[in-house]
Amino acid sequence: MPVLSRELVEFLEGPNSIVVATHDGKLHPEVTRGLTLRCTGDDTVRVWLPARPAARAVANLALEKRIAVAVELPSLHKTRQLKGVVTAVRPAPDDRRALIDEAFAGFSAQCATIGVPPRLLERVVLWPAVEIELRVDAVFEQTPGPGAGEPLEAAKR
Amino acid sequence: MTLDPSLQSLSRCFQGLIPSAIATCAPDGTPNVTFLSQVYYVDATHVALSCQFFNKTRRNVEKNPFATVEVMDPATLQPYRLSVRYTHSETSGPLFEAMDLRIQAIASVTGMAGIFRLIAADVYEVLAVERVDLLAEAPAATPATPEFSLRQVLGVQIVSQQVNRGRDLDETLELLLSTLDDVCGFSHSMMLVPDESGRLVAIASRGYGEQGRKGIGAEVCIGEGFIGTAAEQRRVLRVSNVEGELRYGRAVRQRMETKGETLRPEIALPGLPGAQSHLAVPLVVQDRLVGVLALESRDPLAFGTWDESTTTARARKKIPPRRRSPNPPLPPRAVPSRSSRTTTASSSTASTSSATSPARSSGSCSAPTTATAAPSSATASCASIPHSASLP
Repeated sequence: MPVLSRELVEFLEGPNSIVVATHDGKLHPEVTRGLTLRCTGDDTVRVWLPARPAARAVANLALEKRIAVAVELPSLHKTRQLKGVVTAVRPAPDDRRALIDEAFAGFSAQCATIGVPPRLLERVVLWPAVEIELRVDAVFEQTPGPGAGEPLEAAKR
Repeated sequence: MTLDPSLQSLSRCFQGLIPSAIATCAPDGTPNVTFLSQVYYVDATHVALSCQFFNKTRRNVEKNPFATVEVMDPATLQPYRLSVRYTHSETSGPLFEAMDLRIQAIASVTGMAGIFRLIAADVYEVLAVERVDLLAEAPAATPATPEFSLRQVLGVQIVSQQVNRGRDLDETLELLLSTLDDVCGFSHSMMLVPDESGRLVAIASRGYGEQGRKGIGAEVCIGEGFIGTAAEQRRVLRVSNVEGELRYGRAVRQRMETKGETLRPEIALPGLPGAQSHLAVPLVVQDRLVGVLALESRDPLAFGTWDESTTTARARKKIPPRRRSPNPPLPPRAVPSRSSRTTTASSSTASTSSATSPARSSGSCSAPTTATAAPSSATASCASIPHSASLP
């Protein structure tokens, strides 16, 4: 059974808010915002981060490959967390820029439904971006409420 | 230790308008990241997170206390990273009660009273604050303002002077609400008093049309909704970003229903349609609830800690400090007619020893009636301010 079901892929690739956690050599964690992600296989994901604020996360990943990615649809608070191991970190190639711009426009529209003016999001620097490949080991339910933190059955390895 | 920028200067980040995030790390090196509905400012070097469900974040910080929290200024979207260290959890005391009150209020509105509750207030020491380089042009830093400045003291003084001109209760309340509007910009306000059936009834209002008269007579059940919860708990309740809070509550509600919980219907919020901020200030005389001053606004950041301080100061001006009692009584009280209001209300605020202690609710409040305006299809309420009658 794939770690990433079709339903999960559909959700993960939506207009979501994304945060990414890494840690340094002293187990001090770091959090940074993600821009969008795409599922590239049954258990592989590619996530893009704005390069400037992600500098420390990138430095952390040079030391320690484990990563956590939380994905939330703001209007419903529907949330999933992916945990896995990073297999590649690189500057995002130019041909990803259109994808990132389009995805962020969708996210901006989603934010407008909860009262965040799109004009504010226009100030976010999307480019240059960092591209991170990861192999997903587990997926967790993280929508607030009972059951938050439970592994998704379909996603157990 | 001095933080730069200071936590006080990030006060907008702590209103819960933009979800925050926290990253933790298990002892084996597995990171964890989750969204937070709100980060609470505790003091110049501490913040608190609400723990409603025992979760991985709590388990991680009990073993490895270091974490990073990202908060975002809702006015500029400027993010800040707080390097924090978990210190302890509180399950009672002022911090816990303040955080719990807000959750109780949201739970009440979304039909989860007594089910969705605060388990603990998790307190973190802030070790460093970093401005995140996310925006094309960094917004100007917000100057830190003292929690109670000279300007605010003068505001309290002006309100006090105006209110003292009142010759009877009607005039005093009208002066109070109009001065709060003129001085503080609180254009939608109500003064409610308890009646003998366990409801709060508005006897004065401002900003709801027809010179405020449309709000008069509005009813709220004690223990229900924002005003009713503040009244029941005898504590000031400030809720910013009402729509966001309710969205969060509904997400929890949906998860509970998925798990088989049977919940009460959601209740309607009375008052100003589209209100995004509420401030409810209970007026208490020696454990006796004599009224609630309720303010609301469509601005999600309308009320800050400033306003809590100011209105609380006003509310307590003629009222001795509250003494705790294990079972504080509620007074039986007839809602005065407009013609008899002065005498009745005056006697209620002057008399502090003659109240008997009836049941908190007559029962009428526990059976919701049809709501006049519903945030969801399954909405019912005993709150009886019709929205059509409350448009300013």
